[in-house]
Amino acid sequence: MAVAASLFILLILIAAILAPVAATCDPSATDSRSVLTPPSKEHILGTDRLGRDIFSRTVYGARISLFIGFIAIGMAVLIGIFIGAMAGYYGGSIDTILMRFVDTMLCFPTIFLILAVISLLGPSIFNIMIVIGATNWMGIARLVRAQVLTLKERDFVAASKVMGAKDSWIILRHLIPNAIGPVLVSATLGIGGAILVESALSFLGIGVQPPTPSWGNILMDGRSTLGVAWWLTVFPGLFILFTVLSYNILGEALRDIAEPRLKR
Amino acid sequence: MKLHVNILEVKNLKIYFHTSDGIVKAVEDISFEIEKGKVFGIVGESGSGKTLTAVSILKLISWPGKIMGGKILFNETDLLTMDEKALNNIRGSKISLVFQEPASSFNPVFTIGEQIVETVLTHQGVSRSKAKEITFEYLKRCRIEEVKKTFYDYPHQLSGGTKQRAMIAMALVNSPELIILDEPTTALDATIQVQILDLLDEIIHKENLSILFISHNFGIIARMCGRVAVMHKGKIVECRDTKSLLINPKEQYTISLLESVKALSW
Repeated sequence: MAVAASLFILLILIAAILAPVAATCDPSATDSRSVLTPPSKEHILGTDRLGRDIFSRTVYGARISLFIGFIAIGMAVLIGIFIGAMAGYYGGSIDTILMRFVDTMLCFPTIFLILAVISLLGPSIFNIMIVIGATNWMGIARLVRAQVLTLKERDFVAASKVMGAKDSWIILRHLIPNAIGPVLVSATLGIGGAILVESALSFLGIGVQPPTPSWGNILMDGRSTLGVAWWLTVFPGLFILFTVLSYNILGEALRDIAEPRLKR
Repeated sequence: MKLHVNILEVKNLKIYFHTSDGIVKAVEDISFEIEKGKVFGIVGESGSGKTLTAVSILKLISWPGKIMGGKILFNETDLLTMDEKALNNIRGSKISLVFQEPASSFNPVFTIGEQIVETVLTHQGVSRSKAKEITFEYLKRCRIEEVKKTFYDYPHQLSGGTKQRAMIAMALVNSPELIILDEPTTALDATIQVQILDLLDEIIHKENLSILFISHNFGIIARMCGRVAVMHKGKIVECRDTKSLLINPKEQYTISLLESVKALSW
C-alpha cells in the first residue's frame, strides 16, 4: 500500500513538474468545435464547456494544488517547530504564553477562519498558502514541544552546555534534529489536508481564480454541466481523492516506522 | 612566588533546592581547593551532593536548584559572578566535564567525529579540516583503535568503552586547564573500567592535568587521587591527603564508609 501510494505521489509530482511536457494541449486554449466532448483519443479525459482539454488542465492544476500544499505545510512546519522549540526549551512563562496562544488558535473553526481571512485579503495563490500555513501549525508546535521537553533533559544536551554551546546551537543542532520524526509524519498527513482545503476553497470560488487551473476550480467548473458531462467532475475528483489518500497512507506508513509500537 | 597554585577554590558553597515542601539544602557550606596539576577526589554515597558540586562549578544548575552563596574561584576569578557569555567561553575550553553515562552523552543523530569537531570549532578559531586533524589526534591519544572508522560512526555503533574514550577525547580536545570527571567509569563493566582508568592515569601524568574526580568507589579514588574529600548529606565530612585518610580515618562517617568497602571485598 505504502509503496503504491509513494509511486502515485511520485507520478503526480513528476507530471506537475513536467507539466508543459506532460500536457497534451495548452490548458487555457479554447476550441469551439469540440465543446464538452467525452474522453477520446484526442482528449483522453474529455473537454469542458469552453473546449479546453481536461487532462492538460488537471496536470497544470496538479502544479498549483501541490505547490500550495507543500508551501503551506512547509510554512506550518517552520512556525510549529519554532513555537514548539521555544516553548519546550525555555519553559516557564514563555511556555505558558505560547501554548495558550496555540490553544486559542485551535479554538477557531479553521475553515471559517480561512473564509474570513480570504474575504478580507482577497483570493490569491499567495494568500491561500499563507492562510493554510497559518492555521495548520498548532499540532506540530505541540508535537515539537513534547519532544523537546524530554530531549532537553538528555545527557548530550547537558554535555553540549558543558562544552560551552549557546542556546540557539543546542536547539538547532541537538533538539530539532532529534524531534523531526513525528513532525515529518504530521507534515505528510498535513499535505493531504492542505490540498483538500485548497480544493474546497477553489470549489467555493474563493480559492485559486480562473483561468489558472487548480483541481478545485476544475471541479467547480464541471458542476454546472454534471448532468451531461460526468468527466468534468469525476476525473479531477479522482485525482484529489487518490492524491490525498496517498499522502495519508504514506503518512501512516511513516508513523509506523517512527513509532513501531502503534502498529496494529 | 607561591609554592602551590590553586587552579580551583570553592569557598562556602551553598546550593539549595526550593521545593513545594520547603527548602532542601543539597550542598551546605562546602569548601575545598584543587592544586594545579593535581587530582582531587570527591567521594560519597548517592545523593550526597557530589555531582551537584561538580555541575555548579560550571554554573549549570537548573531551577528549582539555586546557588545560594559562596565563591567558586577559577584561576582566582569568581565564576559565580560571571555572565553567561563569559562562562560559555570557559565551559569546554578552560573547564570540561565527562559524564557518567557515555551512552547518552552523545547526540544520537550525528557522528562522533562531527560532534568533537564542533567542540573544537566552538572554541578554537581553526578551519574545519584542521579541527578534523585535531580530533583524529585526540581520538588516537585516547587509544581508540580504528580512529577513522570511529570518527564516522554514530554513537549507537560504538561500545560503551569506546564511547567513553571518545567522550574523554572530547573533554581534552580544547586542552582545558581543569577536567571534571563525574563517575567516568561507573557505567562500564570491570575490565573496561580498568582500561579507562589506565588511560586516564596515562593522560593525566603526560599532560599534567588538574582533575576533579568524582566517584563513590574508594578503590578508584585511592588509585587516582592525591587528595580527597568525603561528602555526606551535602557537607564535607573530611578532606585530606588520600593515603592518610584511608589509613587513619578520623570521622565516624568515613570509618563506616570504609568499613562497608571492607565488608564487600571480604
